[in-house]
Amino acid sequence: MPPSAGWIAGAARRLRSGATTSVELTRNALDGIARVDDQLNAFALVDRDGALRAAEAADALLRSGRDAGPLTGVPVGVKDIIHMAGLPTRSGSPASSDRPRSEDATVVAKLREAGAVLIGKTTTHELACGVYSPPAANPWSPDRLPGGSSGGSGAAVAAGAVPIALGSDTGGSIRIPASVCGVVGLKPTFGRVSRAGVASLAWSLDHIGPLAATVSDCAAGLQAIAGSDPADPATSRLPVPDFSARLGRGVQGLRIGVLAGVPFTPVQEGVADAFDQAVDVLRSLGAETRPIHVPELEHTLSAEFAIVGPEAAAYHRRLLRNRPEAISRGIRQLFTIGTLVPSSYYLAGLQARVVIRDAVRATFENHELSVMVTPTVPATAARAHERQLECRGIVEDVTAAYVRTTAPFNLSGQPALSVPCGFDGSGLPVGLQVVGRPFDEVTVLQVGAAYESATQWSSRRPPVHVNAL
Amino acid sequence: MDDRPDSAVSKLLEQHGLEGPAFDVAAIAEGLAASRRDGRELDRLLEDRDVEYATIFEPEWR
Repeated sequence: MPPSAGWIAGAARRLRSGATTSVELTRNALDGIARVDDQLNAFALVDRDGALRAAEAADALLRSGRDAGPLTGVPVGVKDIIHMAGLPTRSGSPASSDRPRSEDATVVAKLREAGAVLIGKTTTHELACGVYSPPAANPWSPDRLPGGSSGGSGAAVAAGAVPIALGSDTGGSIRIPASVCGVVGLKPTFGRVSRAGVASLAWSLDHIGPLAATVSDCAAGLQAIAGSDPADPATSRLPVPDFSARLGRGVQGLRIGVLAGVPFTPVQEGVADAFDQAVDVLRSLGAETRPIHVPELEHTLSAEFAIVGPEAAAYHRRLLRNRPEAISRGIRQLFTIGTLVPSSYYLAGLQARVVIRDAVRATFENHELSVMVTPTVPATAARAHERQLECRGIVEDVTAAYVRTTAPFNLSGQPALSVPCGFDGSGLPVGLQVVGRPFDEVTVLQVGAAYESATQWSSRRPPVHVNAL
Repeated sequence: MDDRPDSAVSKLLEQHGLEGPAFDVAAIAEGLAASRRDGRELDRLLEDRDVEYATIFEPEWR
């Protein structure tokens, strides 16, 4: 089955045939942002002049016959914790400086090398530490949260303003907005993409990756930013494969583990229905599915927060000490507790992480799995003012509920993709999470593409949408 | 630690240079109690397991 036509591949053809120009695409994106961003606040900063200059340069490059690859001339959003030379990085925080950054983050430099047109900075939850991302809103229902912390990136892509935007993911911050905004989001393997030049939340769990309109677009985005980087010692020297290589291969013969038990239960009824149907689709496409349970994952939230608190507190030590009032109450509380907990607590979190990684590995090996699947998050988009949500009669904190199904794979470091898999009874998107072996994003994208092209959920448009693409 | 949790937390905050009205001592005491509960949960997970090299995380399966 052929993969869904990616927006980027389509634009690449049109740009090279002369049917459009990067300046035209960029103007469309800028006009689209101007039309919807009063409602969505997906962008913290739009770099109109810089984007148009980059678009003119991309057009000149294409006219000259040189080609930097499929992202040449394509508008891209960048989460506002990722440094772009000449622009401030505000990180959604009143404590941030308006001083323009002198250097690009490695991923931004790579996007520029790939010819991308960087259109602006997308809204982040304060200090990349939360799932609400105010003032950004969800294009499917602007009174609902867009997820976070990469909420602006999710909203911008869902609204059709850009085909792709970068996010970061420490406990689910790419996959949560991807799921609740109905777009595709990929957290690559830990070490696949450099974090140099990106404000950290918790350095041992932070990942950078793309949110995009389709799986194919996601693969193109990852291709541009992946690779080792001396400036980030956690990056791997493993070769970077062709992430699009198996997008049309289908899932025939693959064995897929369907994760059950805590922390993947309970989930809302509409999410469970969509997920069950997604598993049926994968089976109908020729995959073998089998239920699996990893008991160690029950400790996900304890391990995640044992690591995030102390690392975030250490990273923001001076801000917490010198300007605590500039940090919102809940985040200040997390950082303060992270400062005060004993080192044994942090180290137990790191040890638990190794136990969890090894348990997931044993499950993959014992069952000879190609990938695992779960609902990306247990609930659809909560209302922006709600702090609790309900799953099957159990009331949970919104952040903890969203993070419990995504954080296991920050702890294990595995690649994890969220791809749209339907809608609940209120018309809100549901995401399917596909989790692969370390550094096997190719299979994760293969499964995501096969599912996407069999269902076409990714082609549905939210009420707040522009045809900028 | 002082028997009164709030007093003990105030001292801890002071030791770390975290002082002033921005720090809600009662809420922080509550948060620390929750982290102790989480810590006990992690202890149960780690019981009877030897975990080496936990500070050098490698995602790759060897």
